[in-house]
Amino acid sequence: MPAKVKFSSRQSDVPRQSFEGIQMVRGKASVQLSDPAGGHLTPSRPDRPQTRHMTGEPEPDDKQRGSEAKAELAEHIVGQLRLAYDELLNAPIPDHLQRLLAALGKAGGKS
Amino acid sequence: LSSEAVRQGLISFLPNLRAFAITLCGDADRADDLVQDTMLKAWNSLDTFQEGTNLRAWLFTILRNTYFSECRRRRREVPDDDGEYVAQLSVPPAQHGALDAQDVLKALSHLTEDQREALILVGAEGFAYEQAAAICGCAVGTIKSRVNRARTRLSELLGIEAAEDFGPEPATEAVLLRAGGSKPG
Repeated sequence: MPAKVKFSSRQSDVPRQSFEGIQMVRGKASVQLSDPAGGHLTPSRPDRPQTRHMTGEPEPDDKQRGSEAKAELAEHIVGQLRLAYDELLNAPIPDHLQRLLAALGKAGGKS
Repeated sequence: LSSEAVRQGLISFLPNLRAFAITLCGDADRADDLVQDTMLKAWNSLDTFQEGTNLRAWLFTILRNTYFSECRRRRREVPDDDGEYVAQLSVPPAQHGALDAQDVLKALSHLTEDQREALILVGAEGFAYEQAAAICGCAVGTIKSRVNRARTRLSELLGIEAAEDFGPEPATEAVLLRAGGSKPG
């Protein structure tokens, strides 16, 4: 169903333009469109987009849930990594490295 | 800094250096050589260490630089552009909330080197992003990006799509089992 266009009762000399069933009136501050669901759609000014933060509208649940799930997954991945890494940390140190440490201690080194 | 203080530092950080080396080069013998070179370089460069700075970060920086210098000499690369390794590596998660360490380390070895070292330094070693950036010689934002990508890539390699895939964590599972009066099977 094509969108209907409501026009002001005031007639204007300004010519109208038609774009695929949507008529726009030059010189008007905004064009009010009616949709089949009965609501009114008022196009916002493209140079001043309204964010959800400005309107106080809550974030969509899906998006919030998605980011929470993502954060939870990242946490689990790092948790698994730490578990695996702990095995490396607890691995016995080879003798030759321990002997090297002992040798460095005896050598004294620079201070 | 006294030589004894550095020696004590080397002793206490040796397991960390070795673990980091193994994750970098994926080979225990080569990692031991890398740690040995790092220890000798650190010992012979004590005068370049700035007192009051982080000894552990300094040692990690030496190890990392030694590793990449060696890589440039060896020119050893294992490209994975076609994703064949990925297909081989995908493993089903364990039922008890923990993956096999070898699977995780194997998957880790197929991250790019910069992602791998960033994830290990921040995720496993607990370095702050700023410290990891200093060790790797890049911007903090770069490290954050690499860690993020590495986590995503690791989950792909392990075939994990959601945290639920891990099942309950061991502690949670223990509580649930205790509450249910059954023993873990």
